[in-house]
Amino acid sequence: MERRIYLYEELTALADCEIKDPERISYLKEIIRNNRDCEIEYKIQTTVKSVVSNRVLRLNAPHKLQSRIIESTTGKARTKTRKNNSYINLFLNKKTAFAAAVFAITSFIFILLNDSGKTSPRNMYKQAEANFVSLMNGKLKPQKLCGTPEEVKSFFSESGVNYAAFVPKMVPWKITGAVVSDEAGTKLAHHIYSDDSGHLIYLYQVNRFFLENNRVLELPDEISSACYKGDFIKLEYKNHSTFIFRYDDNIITLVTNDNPQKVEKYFISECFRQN
Amino acid sequence: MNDLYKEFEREALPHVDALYNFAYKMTGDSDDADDLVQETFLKAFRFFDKFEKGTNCKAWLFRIMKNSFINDYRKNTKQPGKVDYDDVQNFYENIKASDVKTEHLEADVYANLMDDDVSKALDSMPEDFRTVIILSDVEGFTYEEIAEFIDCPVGTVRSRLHRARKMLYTKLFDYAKENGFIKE
Repeated sequence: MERRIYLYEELTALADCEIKDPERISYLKEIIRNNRDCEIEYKIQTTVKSVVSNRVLRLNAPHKLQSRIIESTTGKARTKTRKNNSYINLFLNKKTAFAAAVFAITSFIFILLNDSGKTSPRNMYKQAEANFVSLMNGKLKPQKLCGTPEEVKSFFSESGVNYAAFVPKMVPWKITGAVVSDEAGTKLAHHIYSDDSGHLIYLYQVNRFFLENNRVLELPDEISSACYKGDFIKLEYKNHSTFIFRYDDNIITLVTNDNPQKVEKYFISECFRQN
Repeated sequence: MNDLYKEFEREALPHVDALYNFAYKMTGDSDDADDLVQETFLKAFRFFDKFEKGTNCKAWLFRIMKNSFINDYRKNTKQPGKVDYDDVQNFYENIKASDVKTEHLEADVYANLMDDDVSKALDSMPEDFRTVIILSDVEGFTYEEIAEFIDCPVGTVRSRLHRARKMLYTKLFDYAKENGFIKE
């Protein structure tokens, strides 16, 4: 048994190109060809190695971290990442109590976000709002008309969306269609609900890894940290409302022209209930 | 800017992404990963005159980060990760060649898995096993470099990597089966 395990471990070393002796390499290859157990052992190693090296998500260091490293190593003051909780957090909605005082809260965040004065074209919720306006104007149409969550998910999967999208059934709204966009080669999921009165609910969701360090899209730090903590953000405008929240590993931006209180009460609360 | 800093910038800074990626996978928290990487670079800069030119700077930085992780981060946050070797042995024993079909052993079978499924499977591994897989298959370190990093003989690296990949295989296989990519 021990000898066999040692042999299997040698096959692992072979898969990692760690065996340097040509004779030993030939011997091990011969064994792989002639012994099914050894063939399986070797293939498990090469398969997993290949899947991990090609498929594990890699993060890039945030630009602000790189700047801090350069600053600190060139002698400037060192700063810690972890900030004291900003006062914004006091106003964020906890999922357990999100019915309370939402408008005052969201107005505050709205002002604060607008005060930043610059919006990147890669800002996720700004993209969602622009897409919603295009939907309303008829400039953006669903690429696929769908009636069920399964159809939407299948469309996402076939179109190259490489993360699990959350597509719930939400009475009284009905799923009407879906769109897959491309952001720097990454396929992103969008889908739409409507009701009999012509109200639309548009969901744009991405895996949180795509927002980490602004890999694919950006979201202001205050919003993403609120979402990770289980809060949600609500922004009210004249003609539409935007909700930003987390579901499992996805960050979702929802834009709607329906009554925001109704959407919050029935749609958002249901999403949190299912999470 | 002096020559030492320029050299540090040239040799060490290109590895910031790899260090951050590893730090994030070990801590599971972007703020902690930030702090760990910043701490690593500060220490590396302080001792850069001791770095042996021509050797692997990335491996040197990873060793510094490991010490910071053990000495500072883990001491302040949680107990060292423990591995139940009985569990591992069970995993190991559960895979019998007679149970495995060779068509299940092609990377293509797993092509339909979501990237985050693969990452989740890796994240769910015990820390010792996750570490060797990341260092070997994500960061491309040799056994000798991994051995220095984890303070173990090369033989232990080989053995741990062998078992870790088998454990990960069972997780990936289950994901693929659950999602209907593998039919038995």
